[in-house]
Amino acid sequence: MWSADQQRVRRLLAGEADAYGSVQHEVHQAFEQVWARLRARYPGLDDHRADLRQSLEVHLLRDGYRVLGTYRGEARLSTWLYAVAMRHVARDAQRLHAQRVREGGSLDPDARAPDTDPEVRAVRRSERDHVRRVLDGLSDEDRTLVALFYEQGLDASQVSAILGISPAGVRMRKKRLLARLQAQLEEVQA
Amino acid sequence: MSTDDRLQRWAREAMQDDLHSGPHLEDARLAQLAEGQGPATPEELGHLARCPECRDVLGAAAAGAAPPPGVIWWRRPAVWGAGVALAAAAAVLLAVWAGPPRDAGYGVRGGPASDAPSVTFLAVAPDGARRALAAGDEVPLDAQVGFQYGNPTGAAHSLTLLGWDGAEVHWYAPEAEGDRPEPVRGGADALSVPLPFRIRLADQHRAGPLTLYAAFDVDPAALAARLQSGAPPGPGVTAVPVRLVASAEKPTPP
Repeated sequence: MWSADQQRVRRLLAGEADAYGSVQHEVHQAFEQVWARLRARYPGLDDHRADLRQSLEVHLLRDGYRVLGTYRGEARLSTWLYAVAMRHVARDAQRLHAQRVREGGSLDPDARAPDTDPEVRAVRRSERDHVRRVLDGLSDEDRTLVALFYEQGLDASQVSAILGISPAGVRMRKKRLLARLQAQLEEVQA
Repeated sequence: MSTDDRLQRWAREAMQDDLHSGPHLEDARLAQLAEGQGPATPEELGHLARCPECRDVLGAAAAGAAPPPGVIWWRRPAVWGAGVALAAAAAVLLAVWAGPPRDAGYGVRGGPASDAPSVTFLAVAPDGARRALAAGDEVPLDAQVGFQYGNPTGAAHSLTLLGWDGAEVHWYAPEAEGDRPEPVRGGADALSVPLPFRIRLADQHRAGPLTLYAAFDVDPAALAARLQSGAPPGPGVTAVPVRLVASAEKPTPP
């Protein structure tokens, strides 16, 4: 039994323009969402927006639909496209950023910071290293929970879907975890 | 600075250099996890805990995932006027009132694991095709916006729905300032209850950015005042920023 999304992809692979249009629209939506998440991370990426979008289109909608042909209906097509788009665009963005660094920029986040005062930078680095040390001591599940909340910006409902526990359970676990991290951060700083 | 603040500030930088071993998780599996088809296995959690790339993929998929089954009441349309031309601004705020403000457990999306009251915003195309709206979506001005809520525990009593375009509050429920918010029903069968009205965007909006707001059990006037003042809408208020576009363009075939 083919899902509606699988049927749509099959129609696209068969060359139907309507199916192409609807999938193309979703690819563009996926790019916009991915772009919004990446542009803040890589300063100077704005100049490459069109290139990154075209690269994603080629990846998904050209090249004989090699990638799109692997869609098996495991998840909704839109969700799958968000995942594929992030993997592809993030790698392109990293490559462009690395190239920019080689040409004179810097990957050091402290060097990108507006505060160039060495003392301020030292404090920032120290603070970040404290957090890193504490996070390195967490279990895989707790570390993933912290990453989903604070690195990825997801809410309790989204985290609960991933971890398979109720949103209330996620909030409780986060609360306990924060209390534990607070104590550990104080220890590390002391 | 609280631990929460410190993590907000430093988690990304502290975790971006994580090193992982073994192959990445498949995109399809990460999409499944984002939709709640998990849970993640211990092996998958072990990889996610150390792999910033797979976390980014999972984060993007989760942020873009449609509402989980049980809350959706239509399928994402196969074809909905693809592509778009213009962009401008407008915002929508939705609210319903029935008691003192609450701040726990409300979300724009519910899910199999959640009994919290939830709201889904729907875009209805002229041909009747419907889809759930997510942050960043583009909506043609000739579309309508509908609403659906879930309230299986009966915790919520009223709903307010408003729109904010950066300059003006648009009243959907209630229809005017001073009116009472939309009453909502609760119970085991109140998993996905459509409201009996839709908003014709062309009647009161222009092309541009628009944010839709929904809140259970709040004072609509207070919520509107917060939006107009530029203050955060407050806990428990859900917001879905979209972009209204003047017309839908036909996509270009390959």
